[in-house]
Amino acid sequence: MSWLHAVRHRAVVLLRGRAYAREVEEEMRFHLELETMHQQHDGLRHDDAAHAAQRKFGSRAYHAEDVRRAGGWSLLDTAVQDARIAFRGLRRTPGFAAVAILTLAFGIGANATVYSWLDGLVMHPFPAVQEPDRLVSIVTLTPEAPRKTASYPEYVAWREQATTIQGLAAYQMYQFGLQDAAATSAAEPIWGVFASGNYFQTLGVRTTLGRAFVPDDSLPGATPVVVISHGLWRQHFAGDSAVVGRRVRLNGRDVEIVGVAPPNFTGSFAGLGFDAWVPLTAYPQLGDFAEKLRATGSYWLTVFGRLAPAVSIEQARAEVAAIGKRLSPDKPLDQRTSGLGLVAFEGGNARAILRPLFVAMLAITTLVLLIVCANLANLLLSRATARQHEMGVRMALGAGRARLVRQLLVESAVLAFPGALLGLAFAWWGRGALSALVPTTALPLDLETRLDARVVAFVIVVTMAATLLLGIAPALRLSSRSLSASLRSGARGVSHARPRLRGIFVVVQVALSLVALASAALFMRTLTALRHVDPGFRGPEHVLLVPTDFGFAGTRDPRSMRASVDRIIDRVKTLPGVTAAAFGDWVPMGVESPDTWTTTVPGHVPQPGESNSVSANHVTPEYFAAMGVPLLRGRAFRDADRSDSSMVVIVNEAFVRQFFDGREALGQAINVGMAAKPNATIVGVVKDGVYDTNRMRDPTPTFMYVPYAQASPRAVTLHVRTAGDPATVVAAVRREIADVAPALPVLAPGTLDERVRTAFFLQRIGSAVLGALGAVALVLSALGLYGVVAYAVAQRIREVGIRMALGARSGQVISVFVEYGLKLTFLGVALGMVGALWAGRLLSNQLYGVSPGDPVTMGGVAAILALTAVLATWIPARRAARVDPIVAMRTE
Amino acid sequence: MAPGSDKSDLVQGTLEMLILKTLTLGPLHGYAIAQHIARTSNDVLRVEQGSLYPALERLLAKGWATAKWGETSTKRRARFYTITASGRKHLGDALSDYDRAALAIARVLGRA
Repeated sequence: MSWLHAVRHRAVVLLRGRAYAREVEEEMRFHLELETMHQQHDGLRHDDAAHAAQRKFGSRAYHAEDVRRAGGWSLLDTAVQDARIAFRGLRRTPGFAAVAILTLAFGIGANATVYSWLDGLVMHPFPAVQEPDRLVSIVTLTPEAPRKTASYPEYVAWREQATTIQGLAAYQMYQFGLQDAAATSAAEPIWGVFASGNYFQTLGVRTTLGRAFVPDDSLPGATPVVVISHGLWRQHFAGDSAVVGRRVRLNGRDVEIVGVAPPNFTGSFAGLGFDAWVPLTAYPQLGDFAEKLRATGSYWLTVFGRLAPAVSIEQARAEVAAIGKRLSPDKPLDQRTSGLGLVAFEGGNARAILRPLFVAMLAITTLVLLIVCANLANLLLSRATARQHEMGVRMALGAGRARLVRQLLVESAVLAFPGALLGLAFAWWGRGALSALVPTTALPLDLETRLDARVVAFVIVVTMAATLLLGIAPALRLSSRSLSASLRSGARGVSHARPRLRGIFVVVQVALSLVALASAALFMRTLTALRHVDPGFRGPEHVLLVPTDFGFAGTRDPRSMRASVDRIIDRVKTLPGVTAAAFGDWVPMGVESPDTWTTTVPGHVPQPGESNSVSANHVTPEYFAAMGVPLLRGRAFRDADRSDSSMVVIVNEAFVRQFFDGREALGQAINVGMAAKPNATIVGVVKDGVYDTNRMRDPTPTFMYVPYAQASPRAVTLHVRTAGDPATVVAAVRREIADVAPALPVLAPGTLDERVRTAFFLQRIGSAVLGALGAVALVLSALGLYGVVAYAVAQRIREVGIRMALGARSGQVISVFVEYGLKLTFLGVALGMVGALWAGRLLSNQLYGVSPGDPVTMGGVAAILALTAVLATWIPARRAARVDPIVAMRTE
Repeated sequence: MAPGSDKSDLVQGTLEMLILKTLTLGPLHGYAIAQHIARTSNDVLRVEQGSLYPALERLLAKGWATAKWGETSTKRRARFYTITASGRKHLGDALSDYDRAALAIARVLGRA
């Protein structure tokens, strides 16, 4: 209980400050009066009594100081005092203060911004989910990477058997067309999620209005229900509190809104935001494939659950492996799997992609902050050196070294604190920066991050570290023995001591800049290499891409879809400037994965590690002409390849390499889908291309083209090749589509060229940011180098004067200082090379076409640094040579 | 004891113990505490004002006593100190420590 009184007392003293001091004084005055009365009582007259009492008591001011110190407040007192002095000192040199605070703000702010991205998108992307570390996902292990998706029958079987995992749920994202109940307007495309009935429960997310799913929602014949997001509720339904129970149309079907999700929940994919959740069992009505829930070969669901209380992940993993063994005898013949595995719930691919990028950026911003601190420390060192005399006097008067060090730390804190506040403001503004930097893609990106307690704590830690770093330099200076010498030798201070400390700082700065610039250079070379890879198509700037989705309009009948597709193509081809038009269901270099078909080739024995899953694109005949994909052998599709004729496919070179091993593939019959007998003929071979920009270092995957007439997905993209600029036909294409199918929405048209550029945005952003930071680092280092040499010149100006008076040539004088500067640079470059090689190894996953220790890159960056260094040292050195010897010798 | 120099912790602790013991009689202001100690020790222990008030402040900072402004019997304003429960506990511990130390010293000196 003592702490309660103790804390209350300290709080009172802290908050009431001066008033409390007055009270103590009043108390002591009262004591003095009583003492006086006592003395009078003993027989002294009033004045004598007063004097006697006063003498006995001693100086009140002294005692007041003692009382304060006893209360443990002296530390705070002196700190406040030091802060006031520091503040006054800075006000006298506002330029220095402004530069210092701004550069600190930049360094701290950049760190805070990147950390908030890391925290919000990678480390804690699901604020509305309870205990996300207890969530696990079941994956299927294969000879290559584990398959993270499962089929619906698999999910049901696992759910029935798992005991160590509770609430096993499944989900997958899907695009819907939203219309009002009367279906009067074109469908508004929204992104949603098909989720099992226990999805919200397992996550621990509660709706703010209405309810989540209940078991009755899964009954056959029930009206599909939907839970909408907070954002959609505000935007589309104007925050209407009576929205629960309203009916709308999703993909042409009636659904009932039953609940609204909380504002901080936008789904279980990191970095993406969704607007609607629909029960899995409603897939046959709202999705594109009526038999999807019964398809054993269709792997589309992410399955996850919560570890039962007191169960460890290893126990659950063991149970899942056992379930896998029990179930595998029932699996069809194409499942070459190694059983079931358990991983921590990832929530999409974004975290795996973003984590290394953000960590690298955080490392770079830390480097920049270190450089900023080094620079500022140098500046503060100069100021401290100028005050050596003052420090010497204070130490002579009895101030402990600790006291002076505290004062210096407080001074650097006075700089760091406003810097931190500005840095926080910078980070606040940077919340939306990530969304602004990333171009719009097909996926519903949601990259707004929060500035929460963790980020603020991070800023506090960084600021304290910066304060310490800044304060250490001048404080170390104090520990030199020459303080008494400084008193004796007057204001000039140490004349012979080399400024070794400043030199060390410059070496560190140069090293850090080299690391930053080298990393940036590696990224830029990666970008160049990526740009030069043959994407497998020609002339992307002439191709217009118009994505759409028949499912949004509620069209399900393949025949009517094909009819619309044919009519749209016929109409668009008549437009002026159009040379080819085709539909395909997948566009390369995006974020969506293509459909896959399980394929076997008679006479081909699969090698270990080989996958029989072939990616597929369903295209209309003119596709290859429209996209500019070179046909190497055989023919393209013809109108004659329809659903009633035999199935034909066109494959890529990688397919031929894997399945035919150099033999002739043209005309061969293969088994597509899980067919027992060959059911398709290869009629053409096309050049390999780039399909997935995140996998460019892996070998080209096998690819297959299937005629749209023989397999017709609902989500398709119109490809239009024009002779001139595709943008000129956009409006006309929209009109034609609206004419043929009024309910069909047109989603974000763009050119293939834009898509390619978007595909490499990660590398582009990486190079841009790293390059900018590296350039800042270079400038700061150059300034640091300049400062050190200028300081050395100023210190030794008398010596220079003497030398020149004795006949030294200016060249000799200059070379002394330039040598000094270059020696520092050389040390910095050597140190930096080590750091840069290490950084390169860390980044090696993101590089392409360039090795981490690439000599050309390293050599180039070192050369740039060396050149800058020569310039930075030569300028002040030249000034040394131009000094008038007489003036120099007279300088005090 | 010159103000500003390091007082030994032993002496500080003893003074705090004396003050706490005095406060067990009831709430008192600073002067009364000093008077009581002087009287009870037959003027042998005279608490200097320079030590008294810092010691009282330390007691407040450690939560062993609380202070409140009140009126003396002569209607003057004074700050009265009251011992707290934890102060009593600390007093008990300090007393037994003191007894042990006094006995040990006496033994060494051949007095017990």
